[in-house]
Amino acid sequence: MDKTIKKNLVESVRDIALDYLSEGGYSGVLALRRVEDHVEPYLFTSPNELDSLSISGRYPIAGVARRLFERWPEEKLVVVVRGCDERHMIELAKKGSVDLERVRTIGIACSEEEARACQCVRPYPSRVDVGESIGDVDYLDHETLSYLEGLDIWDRRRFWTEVFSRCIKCYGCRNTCPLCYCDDCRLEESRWVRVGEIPPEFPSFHLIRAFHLADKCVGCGACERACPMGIPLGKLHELVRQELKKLFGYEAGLNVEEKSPLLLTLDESPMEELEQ
Amino acid sequence: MNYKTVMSICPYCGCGCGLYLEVIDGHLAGTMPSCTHPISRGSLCIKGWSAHEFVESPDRIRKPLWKRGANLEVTDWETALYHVAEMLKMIKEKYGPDSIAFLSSAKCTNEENYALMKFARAVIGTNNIDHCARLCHAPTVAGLARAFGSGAMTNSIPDIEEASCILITGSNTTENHPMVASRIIAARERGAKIIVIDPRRIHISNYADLYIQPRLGTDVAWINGMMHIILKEGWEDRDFIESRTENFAELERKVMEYTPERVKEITGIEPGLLKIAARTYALSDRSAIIYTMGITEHTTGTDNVLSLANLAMLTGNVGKRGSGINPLRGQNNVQGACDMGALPDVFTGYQKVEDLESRKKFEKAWGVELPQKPGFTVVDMIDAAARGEIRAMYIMGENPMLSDPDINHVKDALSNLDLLVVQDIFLNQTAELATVVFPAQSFAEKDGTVTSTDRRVQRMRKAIDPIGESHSDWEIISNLARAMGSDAFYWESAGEIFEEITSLTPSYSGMTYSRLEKGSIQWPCRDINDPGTEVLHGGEFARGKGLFHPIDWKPPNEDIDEQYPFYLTTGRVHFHYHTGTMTRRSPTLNREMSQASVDINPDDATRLGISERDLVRVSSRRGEVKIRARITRMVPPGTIFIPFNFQESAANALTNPARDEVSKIPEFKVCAVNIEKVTPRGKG
Repeated sequence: MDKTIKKNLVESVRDIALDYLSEGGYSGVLALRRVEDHVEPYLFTSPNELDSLSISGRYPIAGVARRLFERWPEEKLVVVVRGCDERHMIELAKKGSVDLERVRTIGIACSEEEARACQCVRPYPSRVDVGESIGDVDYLDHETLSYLEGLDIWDRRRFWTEVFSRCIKCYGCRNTCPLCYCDDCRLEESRWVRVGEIPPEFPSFHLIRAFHLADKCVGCGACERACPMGIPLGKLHELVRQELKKLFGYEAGLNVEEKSPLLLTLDESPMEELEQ
Repeated sequence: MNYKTVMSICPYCGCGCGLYLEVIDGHLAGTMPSCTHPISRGSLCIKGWSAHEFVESPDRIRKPLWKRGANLEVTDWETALYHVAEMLKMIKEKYGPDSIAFLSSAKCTNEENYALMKFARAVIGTNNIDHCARLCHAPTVAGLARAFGSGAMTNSIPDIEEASCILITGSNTTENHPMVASRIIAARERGAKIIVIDPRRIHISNYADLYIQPRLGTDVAWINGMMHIILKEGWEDRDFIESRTENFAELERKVMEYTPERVKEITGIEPGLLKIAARTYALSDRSAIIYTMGITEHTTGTDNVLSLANLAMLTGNVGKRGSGINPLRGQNNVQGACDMGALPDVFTGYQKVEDLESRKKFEKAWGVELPQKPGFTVVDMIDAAARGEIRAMYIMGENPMLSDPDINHVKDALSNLDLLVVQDIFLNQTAELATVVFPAQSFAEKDGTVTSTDRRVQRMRKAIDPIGESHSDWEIISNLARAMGSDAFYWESAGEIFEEITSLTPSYSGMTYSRLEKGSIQWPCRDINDPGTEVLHGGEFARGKGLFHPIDWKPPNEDIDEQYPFYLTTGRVHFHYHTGTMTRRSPTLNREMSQASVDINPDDATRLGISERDLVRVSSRRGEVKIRARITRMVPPGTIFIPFNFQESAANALTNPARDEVSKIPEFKVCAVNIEKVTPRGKG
């Protein structure tokens, strides 16, 4: 995308953010800001800071939003979101960690270039305030995905064993993911994963994560980007996402009312209603 | 809503990762990697992700303490400072300035190291200042300075990715420098050949194209052997040797003595394997050497480093991207502490105290006369304290009671002092022996700069208010200097100290805080328009021509015998950092590993009837520890490994303080021990 359009986009975001901040009613605008050569998540609370608001760079900002609501559940917040950020917010709402009534979003549609870089299929939020949506696309890395699917079970096992054996247990994949935040993390329980050793045994650590996120992962790729050892975690999660689509026609992050098929009984009533 | 992120630098290893501290209501709530930082690039290791966890620990020292009877009791700053100032004055008066010694800290900022260095030299008048670089990369500083003229990592972390061959030796890179390992894995994905030569079968050896397991303490022999093969086969870089180096003929004569057969006898390495290593390293387009303590922590540490320098020069692998000699420094500011002259023989930027011009320059700047004779190194200081020659020690952010070799001896020495001042954030094993303890600030409470392994100077930033009544180390030192009547410590901020540093240090002279706000700068950076230096020794070496050193292999100081039939080697583990004062107070890291274990090869374990998790007693000529066994093929038969991070089973109760003649580093990596299973009472 050429620079002038991008400049106009960021100015449009700043304008909308300014409206919200001057209007009152919201405690702040959660977005990215640029400081010299660095881009960081930032909570804007005053209109005169907005010059530093930036829309380049990617941080899983919904995770920050969740932590803010955990501390200040009564506040109301504006969040600048791209498609994946919004889907994170929707999943957080399903888990009860974010009350969407308290959130306004400023939605940015990603450019084709940005969507390609993220191997995205849905590079836009449900409401686009800034930018032009390019609609549904398919920039998935099909070459790798079909290679992995084509392997027989032993070669597949060999492939994943090799890449997971690089793991240095930084927990970056978990820490960076806005949706991977149980109070008691199974990855930290010695019953499931032996503590104090790298690499963690295959397949427990990474497959526990893959299963726990099966019906939550929105395919943003943050885990793969956070991995220092180049483990193709995004591919693993994409394969699981596709299974869920195939089996149940379900995709995470689209509709806050839509319950995960993994939480439904056979007659499709939510599981928790059966619990007494 | 009171939320902010503050960009800073990880307080652990020397990678120098950029991270954000998340602050909620003035308290640290989390750590996030910076996506735009050139080293971390959106990733961190488990220590980095947990960097905020120890900062607000209830164990932090909140007020000054002083010894009343046998106990440390709380006092106020004025009393503590006055007491220390009076004691220092008295000891200096009575025994002379050289009866006082200082340990500076690779955990503190450049500004703080500079302040303590200045205090030792300008206020006390002694060159008795050193720090734990002595125990890690002193041979690197000494060796590379002799061979190249500058004792630092020649290349940069990002350009490791451009290497076509990476030789890793004596570095457990994935565990101890994870963000460098990240580059190695990326280089491998691009087709680089990886060679790991290490007595332990470490994690990264699983990704090596070639893994070679030499005996402990045989590095000079296999490096000479590689050079022997390279010269025999004509794989050397003649142009480079002729145009850029000197003393080649001497080297050639020496390495010709190291035939593959003789090398096999010493090292146990099959000639065929060594030949593959030699060919791959010599004939690849860009070959990088990465090493750490496995090379340096030997009585032949400097020889080992010089040998690696020989190998790199022989094949023309210095001065270009993706090549070089890359010592990875272990602490976030160990490079900086050396650069700041927290060493007994140099001022900042390695300007020698024996050199009249340098001394004049600092005398003029500080307005005092300065001592000429180099001071004591870490281990000599401890010996001098034991002898009663050193009467007072001032220790800033170090824990020699766990980090130094033969800690029983360290304890005797420190207990023998008239005054022991400790400045720290936690009451560590050393602070427990102190006369006075000053509460210092952690990385999250102060501003300053640190210099990471690839000579990268970066800003650390204050994220939260000080814990308790703690002060930054430079403030404490300044207050003490003023209490002793000095008028040369008038700084109001870390930035002012940095200005003083850059005015006196040629390799830092182009740096300013406002330039560092934009991003890191790698030294040398000589003027305001100099972008800094990613790769050293490009056109010519810092000393002009690179100097080859013919080196003979010498065995380790202590060999195994009937009484002590096992070799012990020591090091760090992934989940903990050095003496554990920070990581063991971090819940995430402590959960991963709450106690030490000794690695024993299954063959030895079977022979000795030891099973996994059994309690064993490991003893050496200097001490003994009880520790749980971990049975693993990571160590070869006959060799055991104990991490030095844990006080309850301190590896350094066993280690040998014998040291390298040139650099004075102790031989942490080899000593002779015995292991026996501890049989519960009544069952024997």
